[in-house]
Amino acid sequence: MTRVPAILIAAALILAPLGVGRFYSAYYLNLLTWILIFALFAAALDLALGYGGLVSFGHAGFFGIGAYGAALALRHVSFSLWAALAVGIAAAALLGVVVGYFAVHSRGVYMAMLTFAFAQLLYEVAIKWVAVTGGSDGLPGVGRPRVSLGPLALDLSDKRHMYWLVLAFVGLGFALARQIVASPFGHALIAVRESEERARAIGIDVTRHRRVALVFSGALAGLAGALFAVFQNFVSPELLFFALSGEVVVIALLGGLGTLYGSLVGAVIAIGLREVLSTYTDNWLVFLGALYVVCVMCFPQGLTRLFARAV
Amino acid sequence: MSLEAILTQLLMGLTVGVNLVLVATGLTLVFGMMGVINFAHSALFMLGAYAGLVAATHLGSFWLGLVIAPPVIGLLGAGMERWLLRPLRERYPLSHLLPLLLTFGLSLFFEGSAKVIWGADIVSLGKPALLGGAVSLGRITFPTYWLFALVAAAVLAAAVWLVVERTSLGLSIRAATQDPMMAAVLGVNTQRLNTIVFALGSGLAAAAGVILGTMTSLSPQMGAGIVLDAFIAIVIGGLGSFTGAIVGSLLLGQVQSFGVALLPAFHTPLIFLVMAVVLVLRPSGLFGSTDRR
Repeated sequence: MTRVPAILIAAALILAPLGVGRFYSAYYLNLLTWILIFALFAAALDLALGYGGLVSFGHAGFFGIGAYGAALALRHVSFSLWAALAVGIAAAALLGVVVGYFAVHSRGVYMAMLTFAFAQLLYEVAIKWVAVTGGSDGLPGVGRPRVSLGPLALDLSDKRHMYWLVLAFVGLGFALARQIVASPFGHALIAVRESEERARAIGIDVTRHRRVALVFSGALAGLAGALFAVFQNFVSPELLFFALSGEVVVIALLGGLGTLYGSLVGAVIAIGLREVLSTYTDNWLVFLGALYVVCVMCFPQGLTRLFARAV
Repeated sequence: MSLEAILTQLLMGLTVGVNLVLVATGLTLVFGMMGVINFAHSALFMLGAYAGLVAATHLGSFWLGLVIAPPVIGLLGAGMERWLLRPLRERYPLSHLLPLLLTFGLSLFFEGSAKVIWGADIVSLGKPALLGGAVSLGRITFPTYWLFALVAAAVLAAAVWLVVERTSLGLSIRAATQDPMMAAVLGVNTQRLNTIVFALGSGLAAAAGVILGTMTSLSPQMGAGIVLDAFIAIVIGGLGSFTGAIVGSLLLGQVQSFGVALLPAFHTPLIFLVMAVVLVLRPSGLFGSTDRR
């Protein structure tokens, strides 16, 4: 991405809340908040899938455990945003350690199924462990803590303040992901993706790199989940369900694997379209499905340029 | 558990298991030959059940529904392979993710279409009076329909087994699942075979859809649960392996049946646990090749 458009997009994102009431309703700002969170979620997946070649089909597990971690921290630990985010991220990173321990030895579809199994296990736990997770009803009324940073105080019940908070953390997440990718570790990770044998031959610890990548990816997805919990003021087992794992793969693919920023494009297309379609027609699922098919059949190259190499 | 209870659970597990074989066969053969995880398989299962319902209501016979649904859905599957998956494979032979995205889109499309055509509510496909009630088998009594579901699926599964293991078509299929390139070099028309296998798998899923849909109920999302189980079964058995699909399905049927009876709250986690343990011990499944796709 060249510098000028990037700055323009960033400026537009920062200034977006000022147009509420003048040019568009708060509904669209909410939609944009949702898109930003999912862009971060997809970028987290991209870190593992696009850069590391780790085929995760269980990323909803990281997102969901981040959301539940944040919600439970707000309830039982401390009614503070920082505690919520810290617990959410830590829980997801820990899950990354556990999943990484078991899953990094398998490849391709088998790794997809193992990661999928872990996420599905968590989904079952969220449904069955009613005392803590609220079962299939989830935890409504997570609460929106007051945030004050020196002179700056945010009231998160205000949609604009919520948006800015999410934007700040999503920006931070993207910057972090970019740092990781550009670091020596990131380069080694790409080497592992391209050829394990050659990476091993030049002294790269393949297993450790794959594990660490999964922990980073999980932690970022956990941050997205924690933000989502505060944003929605509600968590439910749906956040751990495999349909969400599929959706985030679609978002990352639509945007282009191994690009990070592509996730933002993918999230705008996938979530924006679903939202627009669902306001115009009850049969939006038909159109969304047809759209995926058309996208794949007609211009897969434009959407996914690193395809043949990535997986 | 008493001996009678154990026997009942065994039979129930077997009923679930043989029906899983029908669903899993298409998934595993398609993966073996094309390297594609068919996300639309659950939709084909569901459409099969609805096709059975439509045929049964219009023609007034459950049996006609059961006979008509599989070839109809088989044709649909053949069309999917011929006009969507094949062009995609020809243009991007290395990508495993594009077909995934394609079939994911198709499953949304089919599920959405079913909602539009038949509504989102649960409907039921009436079973014939002949199959109502229960039969006694020695010391246990078993629902007649369950026994029918067991026998019908077992007969179909056995027929497929005969085709795959004992005919020249089956020989080509087995060769192509092991090494599609080598099979093509040796003169097997793998393009045509792909379409045939896709049609076969879709038809079998549709048959299971009618059989199991009649046992429980029909809804646009009815395929998700069973195809998830079939997925797990073929992962346990080894992706691409027909034998593995049979063993995995029968094993999973028993795990489910006894899991529900002994650990009602934990039977679903138990299934995932079995899969995770198998994969950690044998990363390519029980009968999977060591070839890492």
